[in-house]
Amino acid sequence: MNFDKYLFNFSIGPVQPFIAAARRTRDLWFGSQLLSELSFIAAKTISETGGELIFPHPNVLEFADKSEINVANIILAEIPKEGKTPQQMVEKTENAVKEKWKECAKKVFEKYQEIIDQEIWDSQINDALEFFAAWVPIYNNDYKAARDRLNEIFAARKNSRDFNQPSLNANERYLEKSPLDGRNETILDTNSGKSFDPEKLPEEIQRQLRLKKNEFLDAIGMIKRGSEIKQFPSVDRVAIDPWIRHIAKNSNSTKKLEEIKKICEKLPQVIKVKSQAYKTFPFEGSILYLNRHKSIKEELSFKKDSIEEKKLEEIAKILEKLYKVTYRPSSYFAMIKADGDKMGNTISKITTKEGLKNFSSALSDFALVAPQIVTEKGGACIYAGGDDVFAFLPLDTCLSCARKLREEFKKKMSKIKKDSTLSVGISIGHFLEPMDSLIHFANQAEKMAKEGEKKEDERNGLAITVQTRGNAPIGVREQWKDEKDAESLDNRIMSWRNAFKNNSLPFNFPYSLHILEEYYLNWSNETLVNKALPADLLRLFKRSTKSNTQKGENTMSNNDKEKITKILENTYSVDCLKKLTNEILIARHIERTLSFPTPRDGGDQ
Amino acid sequence: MTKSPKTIKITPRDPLVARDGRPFSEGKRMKSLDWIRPSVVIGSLRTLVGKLNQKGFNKNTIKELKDISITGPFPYVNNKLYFPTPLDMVLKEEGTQNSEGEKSTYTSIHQLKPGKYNEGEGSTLPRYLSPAMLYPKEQFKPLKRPAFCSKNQMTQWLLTKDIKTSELNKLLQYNKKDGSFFNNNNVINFPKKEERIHLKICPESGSAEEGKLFSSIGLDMNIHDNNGDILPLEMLAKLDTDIPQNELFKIISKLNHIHPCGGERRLVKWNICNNLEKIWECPKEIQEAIKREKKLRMVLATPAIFENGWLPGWLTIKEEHETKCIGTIPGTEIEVQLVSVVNERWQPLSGWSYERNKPKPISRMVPAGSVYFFKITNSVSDEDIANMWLQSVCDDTQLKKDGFGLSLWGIW
Repeated sequence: MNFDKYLFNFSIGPVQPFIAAARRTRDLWFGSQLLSELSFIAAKTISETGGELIFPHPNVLEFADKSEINVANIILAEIPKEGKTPQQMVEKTENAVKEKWKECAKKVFEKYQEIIDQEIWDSQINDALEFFAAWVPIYNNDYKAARDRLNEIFAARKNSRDFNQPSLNANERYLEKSPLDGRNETILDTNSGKSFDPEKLPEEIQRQLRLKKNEFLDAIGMIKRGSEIKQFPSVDRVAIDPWIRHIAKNSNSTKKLEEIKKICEKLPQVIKVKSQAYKTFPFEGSILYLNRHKSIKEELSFKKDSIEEKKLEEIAKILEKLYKVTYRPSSYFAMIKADGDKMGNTISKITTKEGLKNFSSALSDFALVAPQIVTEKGGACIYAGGDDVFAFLPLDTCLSCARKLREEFKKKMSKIKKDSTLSVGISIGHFLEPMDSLIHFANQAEKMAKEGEKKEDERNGLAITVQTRGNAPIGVREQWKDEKDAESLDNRIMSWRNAFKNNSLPFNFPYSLHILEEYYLNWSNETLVNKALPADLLRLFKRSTKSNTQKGENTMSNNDKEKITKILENTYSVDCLKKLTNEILIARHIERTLSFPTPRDGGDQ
Repeated sequence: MTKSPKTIKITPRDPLVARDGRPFSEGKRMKSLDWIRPSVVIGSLRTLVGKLNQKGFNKNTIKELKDISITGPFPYVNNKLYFPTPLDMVLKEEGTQNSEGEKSTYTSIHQLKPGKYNEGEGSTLPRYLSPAMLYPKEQFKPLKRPAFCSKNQMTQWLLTKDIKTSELNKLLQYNKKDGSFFNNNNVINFPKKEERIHLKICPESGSAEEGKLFSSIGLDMNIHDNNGDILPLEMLAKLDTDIPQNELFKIISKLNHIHPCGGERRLVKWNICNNLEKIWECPKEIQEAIKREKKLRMVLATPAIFENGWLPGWLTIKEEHETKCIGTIPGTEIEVQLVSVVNERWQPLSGWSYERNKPKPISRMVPAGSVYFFKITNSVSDEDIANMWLQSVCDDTQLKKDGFGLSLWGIW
């Protein structure tokens, strides 16, 4: 059979060392930017060599530079039979990407060559990227058939991973490994494997690289850390945002914050954050946590009695005063991982090139708007490409951000499929948790959002998990309901938060529910449980609110009271109760860390 | 080889920490791999034997110790030996059923095997490799494989040419809640990971020292079976030596000791087992099938390290346009042509070198469970087949002795 064009798939990897292997937020963010930039070069090369882009949509090439959109690492294009062969297209694209990669590497190498072992650097740079490509002819404009076959061949290509042993002789590699993934030796010149002490580095390098003692970076890690990039907000800046907004409401405390800002301006070591969301206080958040000052001093190598140390002490004094007039800042923040549901299924039904292009256009529209939503909500977007979003959000806006992302996804995808849904996992964690654990929690929350108890309950989910330090993780999940529906999970959490906020409910309320759980666990008569449990819950709720009313603290609105009564009436089994307890515990955690933190929750000791 | 290899049963007393090569210090989390590397187990055993010898570790002793070779360790549960699930086995979710409140998913098995490009199709695979494609052809998102399958199940799989007609494709039951598989105990998962927080106690006050905190993750060596019972997940390994007069090897025949293995000096029992020699033999059906068929399949039962990365050193790329890759299987006279490969991304192996007192360099390993498809180009003898089963296909002699690259064989 004759054909005149190919469908062509090209991918760049490995994703893991580029993105997940990160200690600092900027490593994570820059890694994903870097991979996106390389994917952009690949897409551009394919387009300029006669290919017609399908994924990403060609318009991504126009606005990728100006926006926060990410180019996914898998590129789908149509290439004409006349012209470059698929093999030549692969070669050209690979070369362009490698060239860009080497250019990035060279910049970092030139800047830090005095601390880099060049031999091992070169070998890792040459080994770093992997490419996969596959192609099939398109017969009779049947794009569905071509895509199905291409998927088979591309999957087969990825089933066989060809790799070499590290190119540098083993004798030269008796060195420490990168602590992030343990897959490469360090490129830092450590004098043959002895421990590496960043304190011995020139001050400028120490400040830029923020190396911890024995943080043995490999080449990719070094490029992520050492590249000249705009400063990405770290997790502490995201976590402290509600506190800063709270401070900014009061003119007296605002003055104090301004004083701190002025001192920070004079401390070049303190990282300035360039994000629209953080204009009020455009510096790293750790400076506002008293309990972080000791490690700031260590990380920035402030000498004893130096001007820098004195300035930090000045900040500490102001903070002490601020902490007295307001609550202490919370150390918790939220990560959102969102993913379109059944995208593979949707795309597999598309039969024409225009259909595929419309699909990729809708996805890029969403990816373009997602970072804006995140920024509006005071967050920082790590990745937004296709139907995937990964972002860090302050605790008080994470739920509304998830809702907004979901609504926007529905809207943008409605051209393609009316009932398109987005599953969103929110995981709340402490900013001092290692980044790999935080990413792991976020992935788990996303997985939880997708899964359901029954087949019909799968996907279209919202999951919220809380991972506190020292406690077992808790989580709750259900399918999205309409925004106005008071029974939707996000609205319910809001009701519980209000109840705690108004002091209508004591903070130990969910623990009383635990006792009920144990009590009803052994009841064998389900009908009895169905009747007794809601009644018992209402009794407990009335008693708890009553005690606070007597103390004159209860200001719960009738509306909230009604909503909560309805929730309790619908809790008819021990399983429902378990879910409810988790839901209240999550609301409690959010409210407690935002408005009523003890030193243990968010304090400085 | 000696004529009397020994079988040893390894029973962990504590959760095992299988270190992953990352540096570790105060305030960090010590991670554990999913399963322990053979080199860790044989290294620990050699130390134990050296200590029992009570003559110190001189050059000759070290040479004799390093000569002790290991086959394994493989999971051993309820008198059944388990091997890593081959990567050419692909599981598909077939539907769910609720029984007594537990949600179970039923799965069917598909296989990956060498396929062909049609006219105009292609990929960046080396030219001598055929694409490993899914059979029967279907589009679905594969389920995560169970980590290990029993020797019987593995034997059946290695004899499977066409999954459609195979006995194996009776539906497997899969418990989605904790992701474990049940099928008459023919498959097991990796041990669960258990996290422990450690702290430093101040000797004066008896309380925890400020900030001296770290956590470790260990493998909980217990298996929960279908009935909810807990069974110990033990390990079985075969030991052997090439030196006929290896005095140290004699110590092994009386081994019944407790000695640490892996990270954090977690304790395990080392017991010699008699009457289990047959477990290491190649099943008769497989021997017969290989003799009959010209299509040979190699499954790695432990990770392998080859000089050329993913490609064994005993295979050479031939002909002008690199269209053929041929070689002779180590320890045999069987000549083969490589047709296709199913593997995963490389895994790193490092460790600590006591000889240099430095971290060992990274080697890239082909993961356990990887599958190589061959065509046999000459005739095969019974002896050859018997010699192949569970022998190492690595290129380096010491790596062979350290238990890497053990191979299982079948047809396709």
